Amino acid sequence: MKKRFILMCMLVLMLFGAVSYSEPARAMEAEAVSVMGDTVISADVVFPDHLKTDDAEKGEEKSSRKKDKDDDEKGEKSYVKRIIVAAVIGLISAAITISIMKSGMNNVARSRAASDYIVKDSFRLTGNEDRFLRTEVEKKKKN
Amino acid sequence: MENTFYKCPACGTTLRYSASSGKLACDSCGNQYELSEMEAAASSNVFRASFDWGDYKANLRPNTDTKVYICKFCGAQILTDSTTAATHCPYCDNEVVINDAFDGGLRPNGIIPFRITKDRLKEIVNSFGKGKKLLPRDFFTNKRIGDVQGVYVPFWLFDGTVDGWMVFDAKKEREFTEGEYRVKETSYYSLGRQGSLSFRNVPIDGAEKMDDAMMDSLGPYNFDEVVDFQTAYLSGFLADRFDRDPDQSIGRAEELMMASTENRFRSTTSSYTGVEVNRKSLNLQSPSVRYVLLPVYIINCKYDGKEYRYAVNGQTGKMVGALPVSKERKRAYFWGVFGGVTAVLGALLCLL
Repeated sequence: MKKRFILMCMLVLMLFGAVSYSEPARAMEAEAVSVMGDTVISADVVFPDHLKTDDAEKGEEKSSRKKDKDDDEKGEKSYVKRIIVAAVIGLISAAITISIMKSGMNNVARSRAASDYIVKDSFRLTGNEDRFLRTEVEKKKKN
Repeated sequence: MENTFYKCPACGTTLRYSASSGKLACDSCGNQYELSEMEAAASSNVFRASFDWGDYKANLRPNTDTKVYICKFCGAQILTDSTTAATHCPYCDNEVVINDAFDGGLRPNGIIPFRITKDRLKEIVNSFGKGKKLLPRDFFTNKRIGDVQGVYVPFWLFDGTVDGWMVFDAKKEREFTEGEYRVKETSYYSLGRQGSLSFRNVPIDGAEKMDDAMMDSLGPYNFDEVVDFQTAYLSGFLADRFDRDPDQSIGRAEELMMASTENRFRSTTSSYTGVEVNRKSLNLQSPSVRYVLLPVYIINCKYDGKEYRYAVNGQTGKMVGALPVSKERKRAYFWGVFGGVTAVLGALLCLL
């Protein structure tokens, strides 16, 4: 049972990590594409073919290289973030696993009730009254 | 736990909660009182139930065919038959035990003889450590365990019926849509319950030196197997003498019985939510007590400078105790799980 519980915890944590990270990752990719698209369009507008000079072409190349570098840096940062998230979840999973394993090392506990010593069928319910007091109604307009 | 009851101001009879009138009613003179009235006067009238233990002491005869050893290190008084020599104290594991001039002690009303043999005990001890990943591998070795002593532990078995009433505050919640509104309707109720619940053989250990939580954890025993005490059952075993009498133990028994009764009353309110006790009056009626000896194997282990004690139910074989945690194994599992989860999850996240 405990093993199953630990596996379930890990699976849930892993799924949580994967799901919570896959969404922003996709969003970032989409954003990167749209940013690149905007820049290309803007380059076309500012430097149409018939007005292009060598300087303009050089400038375009330069800005394109800069964009590539920025994208690489962004990608590296995103991988580092992902690994940090994985490590944090790994730490939490390890701490949970150890605490579950430690709790299984002690089976001494004080009794809280005498349920093992109830005389069978001895419960007599001689009075049973449910008295209604009041009702409170809370209305909220739907969004 | 404070359990209170109210006396009729007119005739002194214990009042009962009347579920039909919602008042406290006197069965003797027929008067009825508002709960608030009685609560206002409660500070001067409330008192704990007192118990009449009848003649239990008269039922306990002096035991003339046993002898008592007293451990000079921890002061434990250990009973055995005249043919068994106590070689070490089961409590402090000290080898030196002196024979005192005492004889006898009080003869118990009953005893559950040992059913678990020493061979079976070895299997139980071995299986207790199985599957415990953090347990040091060399913990349960024969050398470390040493001699295991079977001890008859004195227990008081309490019988009785808890009788009384409880009033719970409760609610029912319902959510629905009405036109363009979301409606949350909460209905509040006062639930009155009156009744009784009987208990038999609630065991409370009468040995001050025994760890109470450990003795609680050893149960349940099958009390159908209680037989009349005979000194012959002590042969080869030791027995502790009780040093906590029934008057000192009744509080604990009462607490357990009250908790079970409260749970039973509460179970009748399952169709409500947010059920909380508003007030209650529960009394233990016609209690009785028996003095019995129950079989327990005590195992003392020393490991890494610390002492560990385990107990095995000599009737059912249930073993209880706290196992040591190996620092090396804990570290290995921690980093193993951390590394595994981080690697798998890291790879998954980077691929997405």
